[in-house]
Amino acid sequence: MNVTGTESSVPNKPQGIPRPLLEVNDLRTYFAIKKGLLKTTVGYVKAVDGVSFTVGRGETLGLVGESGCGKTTVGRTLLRLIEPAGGTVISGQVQFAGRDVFALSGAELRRQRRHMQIIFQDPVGSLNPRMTVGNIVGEPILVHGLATKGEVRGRVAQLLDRVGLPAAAAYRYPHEFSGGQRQRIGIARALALQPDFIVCDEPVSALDVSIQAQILNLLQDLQNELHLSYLFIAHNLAVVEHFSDRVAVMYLGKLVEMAPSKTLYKDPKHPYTMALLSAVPKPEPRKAEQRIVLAGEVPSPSNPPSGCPFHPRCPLAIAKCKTQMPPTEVKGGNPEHIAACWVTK
Amino acid sequence: MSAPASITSPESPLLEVTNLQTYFGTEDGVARAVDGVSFTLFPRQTLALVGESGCGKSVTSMSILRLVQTPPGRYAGGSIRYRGRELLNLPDKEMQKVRGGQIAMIFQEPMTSLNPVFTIGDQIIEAIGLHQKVDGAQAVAIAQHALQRVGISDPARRLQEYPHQMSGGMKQRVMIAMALACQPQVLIADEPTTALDVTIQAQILELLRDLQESSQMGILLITHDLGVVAENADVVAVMYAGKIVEYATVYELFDHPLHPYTKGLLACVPRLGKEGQRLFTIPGQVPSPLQYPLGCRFAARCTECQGAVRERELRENPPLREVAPGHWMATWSAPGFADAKETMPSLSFRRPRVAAARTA
Repeated sequence: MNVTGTESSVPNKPQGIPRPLLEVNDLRTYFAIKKGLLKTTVGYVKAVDGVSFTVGRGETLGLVGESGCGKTTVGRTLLRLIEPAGGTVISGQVQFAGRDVFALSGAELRRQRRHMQIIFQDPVGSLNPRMTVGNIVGEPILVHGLATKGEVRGRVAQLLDRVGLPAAAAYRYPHEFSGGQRQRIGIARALALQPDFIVCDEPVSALDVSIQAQILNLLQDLQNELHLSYLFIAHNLAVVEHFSDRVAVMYLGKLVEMAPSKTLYKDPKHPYTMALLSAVPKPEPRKAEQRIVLAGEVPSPSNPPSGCPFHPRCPLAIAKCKTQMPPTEVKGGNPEHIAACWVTK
Repeated sequence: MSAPASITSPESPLLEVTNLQTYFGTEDGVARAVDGVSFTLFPRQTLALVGESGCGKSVTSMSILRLVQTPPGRYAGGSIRYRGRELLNLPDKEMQKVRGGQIAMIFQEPMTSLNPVFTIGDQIIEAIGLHQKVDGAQAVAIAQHALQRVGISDPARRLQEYPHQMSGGMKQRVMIAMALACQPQVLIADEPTTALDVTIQAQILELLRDLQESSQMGILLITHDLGVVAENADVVAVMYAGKIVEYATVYELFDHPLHPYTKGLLACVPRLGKEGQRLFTIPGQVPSPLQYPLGCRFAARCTECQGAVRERELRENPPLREVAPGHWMATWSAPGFADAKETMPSLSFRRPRVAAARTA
């Protein structure tokens, strides 16, 4: 069943409901595990194992999960930063504004990149230390031929201003800036081509709390102003809940739950989501709540458990969970809320 | 405050830090990373030192164990007393006995704190050997017991493994096992769970709480995560620009934050389940330790002080004073500040513990 956020899979849609900007269908990214002198493929790390979702125009879909769940791989696969080469297998469908992203190549793919951009987590590693800020932000514009060398400087100044940096920053190097400022540079670069959609891969995880708040507000303002769509990938649930319209939860390559942001928090339907929410430390010392502490470690994605991947750590697991992967189905009668669990309703 | 005690009773402190100053000499001048910090840690208590990057909390914790590289660093002033004994002028040999044996430390990045070319067993046994006179077989037994205590199953096999064979959470447990192998009285935990996933973080923090209950150990918890503070700390010290700006029990701090920086921090943390479009932010940035402004170091980002008080704020840095019983803070505009005393921050408060619900 292909349950999406803003439309059904019925071909005759009622007029007035816009098609989502991004439609992802049964996405799979498998990395080959190679052993031995001849580098034969002995297995696969199923980093992304059948993920489907949509993102509407001007909407933010949050993608949460812990290390190894595949959320970063989803973002990179969508943008074709990971390609089927060297044993990597990618399957599924990614439609952006109706175009099949995986079918593009060469000049078409390059044109497509104007619409889909990315902001990275690491404000240190994602900026070339040997380029000035002006060159970093202006390079995409020049590469895509969107302005002449003479015009680029003005455009860069506008972008820097929009992210709250002085125009003079263009002449300096990344190391001269703080983490928060570098993240602003990364955002300016992502905006340079006037994209419709930005993958935000842990954009604030490396920042202090007060700077996080500044950057999140900036991203929100930009979204309102430019009608941007975001795929907001993070592990901090409170940040994701605050920032996203809908949230999808991943575990070991699978999408285990997806719902509007407030609904997910108030009424989670997957046991992993419940444990995740419970584990988040809350700044309220008097609330001595019963915390659910999950035992055990996250299994390796190269050797996932049979059936439902969460069953070894799940407090609600029944016999069926060990052998059969539950389908994603609507929970609680709310078509916007889906989860993959045999037990919860 | 209290006279030095050689026997630790529940009310005599483990650690008394008074007016600690740790400075670094750099090409651009002196960086006053820790600039007059005072606090007291009692047995079976968790004191959280909270602040953002650059506030001096990590340098404070390194100073307690005299791990700061000198030069370019130097302990420019103040005192650190462990069970009544001054640490800052202790001879190196004595200090080595204290490190690990009496006061232990775990760090943020377990991946980089463990030596990748030695097995876990080698590393734990080395730590044991430094502080206890035991033979090989005894050391192995202690190491296995230490791993078991931190919830690592099959310890005999684990001792043979290398760090890269373990997950982040497992490595942090090993770090804790190493730190506790010699049964220290004080554990300094510098951002122990920041690099870990949230469900593993919950496990590790719960482990630390359990270990504290059974051992009477005091924990100095360094963190920037207010959620972690709320759930784990008994007493909280908020640091800003090398100084402590607020000090109170955890309940008091969250119920009645007084310093504008504390209030700002609490306000800009996104909370699960709370509606809101825009996050509150604290405008501006932390000042550089090379160039602290004259006067209150938070003044540039703060609008609370007005008029004559504002003028004072710009000229003179407010000291930390006890404005209400058990609540210290440093800002001229606090009601009752003028009459408050500069007493030594010390609270022996411990909160009631609630056990977490476990899954299998």
